[in-house]
Amino acid sequence: MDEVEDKKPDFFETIIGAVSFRKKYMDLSNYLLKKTKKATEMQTELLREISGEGTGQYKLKFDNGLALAHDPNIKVYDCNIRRCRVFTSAVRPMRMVFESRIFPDGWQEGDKVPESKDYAAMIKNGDDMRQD
Amino acid sequence: MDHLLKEINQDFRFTCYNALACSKNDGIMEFVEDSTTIQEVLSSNNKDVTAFLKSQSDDPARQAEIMHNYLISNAGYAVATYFLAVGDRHLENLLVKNNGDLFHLDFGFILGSNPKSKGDFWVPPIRINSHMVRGMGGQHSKEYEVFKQKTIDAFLYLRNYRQLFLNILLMMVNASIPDLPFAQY
Repeated sequence: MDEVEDKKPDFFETIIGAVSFRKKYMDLSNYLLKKTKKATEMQTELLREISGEGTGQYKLKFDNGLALAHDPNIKVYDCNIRRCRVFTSAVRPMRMVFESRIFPDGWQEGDKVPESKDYAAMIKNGDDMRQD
Repeated sequence: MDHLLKEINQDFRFTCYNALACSKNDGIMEFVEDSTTIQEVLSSNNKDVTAFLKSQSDDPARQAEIMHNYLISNAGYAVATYFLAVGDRHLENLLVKNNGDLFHLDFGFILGSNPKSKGDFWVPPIRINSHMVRGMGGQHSKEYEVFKQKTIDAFLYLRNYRQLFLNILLMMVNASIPDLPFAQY
């Protein structure tokens, strides 16, 4: 009988990554909301944090790429800091722009690596996202 | 609805963005690039959506394409919002992309409910406003006729799937969505 493999399946990493990413952005968002309520101040603070100049805890940079939870085909690598911003609507949603690669379904190691392009994601904390 | 219509080769140019709710009050979603709210379009183009659509390209063929995108996305969303009776439709919840595609966002009020703060006024069942119609060239234009025909086609086809939509909504009755109060059923 074949022995049961003790190897984690590939998607395990994806899930762990997505969960840790969620924790990261929640921490960042809570930190910003605690610090200030004004959208403009939040934005300067956000830019400082993700560029690693602030407390240095909330830098969003993934050397091996991180698959986004809502669309795992998209792997993000680094923030495009100039294009990130905080919106003025009630819950202060953040637009995070990442350098990303969109891997088509069935992509395998050794296939052509897709081009890097910007991907914008909206992150909300404080509002029910099901209504969007 | 997009999938159902695409099955019969009818692309109504819906803008479906991915959204994922991680808990009841946080989540992550796709940001649709190159889009402007109708509010901004109206204020920067002298209250004229047509001018905005025309200014996207100098090429007449491309302009016609943009107008076509605008028409059929309008028709598609008219039917979709009619089915779900989406409330709270103001000009900032309506966006238009640079290629002419119009789309709605923020579906916080569905099945006929509307924000209480805005008073209890009658809301037309089909969410089309005068700015959108003027963008097509007015009520007597050829474009408006195309729009009407497309809306009717989409409605008559999607009506065959009413049981599917009802089933999907019934499945969500216990999801504590404010507009789907399960206590009533």
